[in-house]
Amino acid sequence: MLRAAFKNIWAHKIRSGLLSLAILAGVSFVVAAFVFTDTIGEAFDDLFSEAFAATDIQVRREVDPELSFGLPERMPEDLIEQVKNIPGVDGAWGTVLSPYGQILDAQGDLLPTAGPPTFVTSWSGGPSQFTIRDGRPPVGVSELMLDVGTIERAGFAVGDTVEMLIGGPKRSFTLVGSLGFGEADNLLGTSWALFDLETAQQLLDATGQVDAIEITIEPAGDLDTVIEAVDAVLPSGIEAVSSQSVAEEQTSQVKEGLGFLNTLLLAFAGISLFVGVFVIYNAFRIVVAQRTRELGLLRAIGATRGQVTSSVLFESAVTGLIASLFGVGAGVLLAMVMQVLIEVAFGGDLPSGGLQLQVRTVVVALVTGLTVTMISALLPAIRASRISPMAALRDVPTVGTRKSWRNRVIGGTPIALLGAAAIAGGLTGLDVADLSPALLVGIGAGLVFIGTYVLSPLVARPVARIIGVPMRALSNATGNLAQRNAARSPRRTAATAGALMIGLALVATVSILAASTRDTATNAIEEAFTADLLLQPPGFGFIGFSSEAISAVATLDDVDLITGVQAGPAKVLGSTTLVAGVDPAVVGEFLSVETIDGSFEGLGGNRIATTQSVADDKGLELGDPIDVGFARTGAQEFELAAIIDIASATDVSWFMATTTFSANYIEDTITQAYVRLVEGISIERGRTAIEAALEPFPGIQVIDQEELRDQISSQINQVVYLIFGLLAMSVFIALLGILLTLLLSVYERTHEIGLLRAIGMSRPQVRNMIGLESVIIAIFGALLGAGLGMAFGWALVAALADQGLQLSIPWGWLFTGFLGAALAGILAAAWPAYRASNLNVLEAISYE
Amino acid sequence: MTEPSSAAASARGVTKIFGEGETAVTALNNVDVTFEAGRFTAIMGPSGSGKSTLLHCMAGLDRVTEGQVFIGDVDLTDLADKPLTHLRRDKVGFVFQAFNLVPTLNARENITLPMDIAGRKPDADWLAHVIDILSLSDRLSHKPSELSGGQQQRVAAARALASRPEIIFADEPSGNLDSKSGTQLLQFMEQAVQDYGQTIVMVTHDPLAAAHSDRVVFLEDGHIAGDMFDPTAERILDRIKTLEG
Ligand SMILES: Nc1ncnc2c1ncn2[C@@H]1O[C@H](COP(=O)(O)OP(=O)(O)OP(=O)(O)O)[C@@H](O)[C@H]1O
Ligand SMILES: [Mg+2]
Repeated sequence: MLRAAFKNIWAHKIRSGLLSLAILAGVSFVVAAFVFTDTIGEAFDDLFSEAFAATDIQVRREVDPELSFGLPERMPEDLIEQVKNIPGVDGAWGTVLSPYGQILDAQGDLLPTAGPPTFVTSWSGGPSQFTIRDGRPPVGVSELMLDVGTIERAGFAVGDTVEMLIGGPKRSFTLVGSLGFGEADNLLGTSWALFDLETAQQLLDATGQVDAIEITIEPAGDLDTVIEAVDAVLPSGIEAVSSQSVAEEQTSQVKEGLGFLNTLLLAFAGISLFVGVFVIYNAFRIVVAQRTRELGLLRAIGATRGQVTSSVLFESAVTGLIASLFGVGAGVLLAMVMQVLIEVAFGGDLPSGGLQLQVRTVVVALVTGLTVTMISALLPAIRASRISPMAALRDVPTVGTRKSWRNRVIGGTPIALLGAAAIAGGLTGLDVADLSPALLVGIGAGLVFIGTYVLSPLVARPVARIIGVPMRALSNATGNLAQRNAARSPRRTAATAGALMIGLALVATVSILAASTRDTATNAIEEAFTADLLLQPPGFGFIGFSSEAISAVATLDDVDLITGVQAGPAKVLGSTTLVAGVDPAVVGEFLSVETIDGSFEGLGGNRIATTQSVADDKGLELGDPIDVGFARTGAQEFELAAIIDIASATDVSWFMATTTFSANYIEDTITQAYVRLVEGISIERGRTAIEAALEPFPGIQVIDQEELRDQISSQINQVVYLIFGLLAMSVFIALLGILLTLLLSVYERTHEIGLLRAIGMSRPQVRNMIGLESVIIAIFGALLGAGLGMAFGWALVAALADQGLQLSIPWGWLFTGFLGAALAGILAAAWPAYRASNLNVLEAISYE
Repeated sequence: MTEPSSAAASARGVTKIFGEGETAVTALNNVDVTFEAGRFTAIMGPSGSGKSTLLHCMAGLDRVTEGQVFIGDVDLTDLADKPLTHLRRDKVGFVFQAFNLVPTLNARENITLPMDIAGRKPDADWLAHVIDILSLSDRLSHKPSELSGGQQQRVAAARALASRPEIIFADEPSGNLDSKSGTQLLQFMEQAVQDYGQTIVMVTHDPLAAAHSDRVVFLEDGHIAGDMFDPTAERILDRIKTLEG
């Protein structure tokens, strides 16, 4: 049987190849997800264990790792001396660290970054993760060292003057040395500026304090004993841990971060595989139908049902296995491409420790590929076994009876409704069987797709007819034939279109959600935002700017009023979110803040305000205690002092006074500042004056409302295009499905096409006929997809309506998606059409 | 009855060889034959004698290895695919043994298909007439799968006639039909020749079918073994016997 399966696969190389591609694509995503995250995880593992190998023990504040956001809490520096005297301790060095530095390039502009921060830290003098490559360590207030990667990127050389922003106006330093991280020049795109301890403390507002103490022990010392001894002298709240466990902690933090990426990639792999199921199912269904006579003959000469089923399943298993093996290879390649892309995006090398293709990855890939293929082939296989021996004698079987139509309605409607219910449940946060809401929505969407898929043949014929109308106008005979062909087997057309439907539905959903977010935000700016100008850091990946910049602008004659807004992560009521620091007396001048309950202007101390929707959501009332955890200052209790309605373009929903914010966040960073000009001063004049005043603070953008709206739009568009890119894979698989169906159809209609050629249809006409059929299928899929996607998008927006989201439908994007689908249909038809037009007429019309 | 005037189609020294080397088969060997306009010609001969091959070559469906083929005065021998296709569409009609109709189109659409492909309007009166003489009026909106074998072949004949081609080629058109529907179809073809001067060339095995024609051309082993005018079934049978004996 194995040999028969192989023979069958080989005899239908093209079909098997296309089928394999449909599986391969999804599997390669799965593999790439694992290989990529394993590789990076492993590399960080190496990197951190190497970095922390230099020391043995770390002394640090005990922090809730979820709260620290990578920032240690400070401790007095006299602890260093105490620790040094402990028996077994060889050396101890204190360090400070902040991710809030900014480096200026030779032209005085901010050195561009795509996200990773610039760390400001101290050269401890002791062993550390850094190795000096060139020059010497910095001494005194005007010297620094930078990492080799940054030096190369900025085009510096040792001896140059380097300007930096560290919580204030720009300052100049002399670059006295360069350093690497062991062998690596660069740590995942981050930049590192090192000063001597005293300078670093001064720069980071940490005089007399350190963030961590690094300890080495004497060669004879026992690590655990020394840790215990160190711990004993430390005040409460400060702990000693082995460097190795810190390395492990950091590695696992990185891996957790990667876990998100992994999940994201696996989600898209899942979508691709789901689409693949439709394609494979459809192809096997057609193949079984085409082999009806042959299978009937097999049954007639004594093959059992089981044998027929397993022969089909077996063929699918072999195809699935081979495709998955290739998928593993393709996945590894994809992971390599992703690595390069990310390196380009981050402008730095990833730590590389060789690609990690783990056994687990291969097993998951093969099992997934095999299962998906066999599940897809299961129904067709069962159908094959139901073929009666009489089929060998009968002519072409007829399908599409009334009864099967009724079955479709009975079967498809509840599935679609169940899916819709699951989506609704997920969106309203219903707790069903312990599934996360996102998963519930996903499963619901899947069910809706399947339900629609089951129902769609019912409308395939009339819809194909309607789509065909303009094509008939275009060219009567070919258009007519194309439309008839698309309508001749509604199941086949619907099944083929179904795969495309999924991709387009997701595209439409994303489009609507994005457009609604964008328009809601820009409308809010238009309606409620009264600032003339806005100061903000130069886009994604850059941290805020110093409050000294605000003071500099405030003194200008042209400026009537300026206020800064700060934002930072905190753990509020148990979940991490952004909180904002505002000047409650002034912010209302720029944003429309409506106090619903309590006193917003009275914020200050440990008083906090939130929005009406959050208060409703969490059932909060004025005066309720609110637990807030900060990285630097730990857990604190706040009182809910005001419930407000605020029209803002951000999704921050917790507000405290600037003074409170500053007390809990050491870094002096403003994320945005709003400016009102003196009456009569033009925007342009105001902008020029402000830009001049900001000369010592490079990189701050001064933008007006329109530019702000444009920025928001373009940020959202970027995300949308990224998602479109990822969805392109599923659309590609759907096109493979169209290609496959058309090829099988052309094969099946050999006689017919031969006849058309014999009675005078030209080759281009044959090609047009196939092409138009494909376009009809593609548009049908696109219509279904756009319809579903609009419904999904609408549901999502409705679910988020209490957060102020308003529905807007991006007709432009939807239309582009549509046009794209039609064009893709033409593309998918190219090869089948070519084959059809080159059929040998004589062979095509021969009788056997 | 219209007098045969000129050649509707002719073959000059046509040789057709399938394959190469050891496995080469000479299906036609230096065949010279002329089919006159306005005549109903039957081609007969044993199985494998080259009847279908001759028909295909004459109709521009296949290329000859040597010699020349003419439809009217157009030499098909070196015609490119496109003009050849247009020639088939505009000047030639076909009736095959089976698979004559496009299953997605109804009877009427099948009949007008060559003209639709060409983007021409059918001559409504003539179309109505053809449909009428083939008794298809009440079947026009039926799909091929809803028609009997005889009706399907009549639709094919109607399609061949509807565009008034210069010549119709038929390869065993009644081969799959019972004798009654077969006879009906042949009568219609005979009538088309007699009443409207249609030229028809038909391959058949059946002496009764061939008896409907004006002339029978006998093929044997790829060459013309003779012909017979105003045949009857008995004479044809006799001739076949002598050929075989
Ligand atoms: N495509 C082909 N390749 C090779 N040989 C062929 C091909 N078509 C026909 N032949 C050979 O050419 C010869 C003539 O075939 P043709 O089909 O013309 O015979 P025929 O007279 O129509 O026979 P029948 O009465 O059985 O239909 C036969 O020997 C056949 O085997
Ligand atoms: Mg023949």
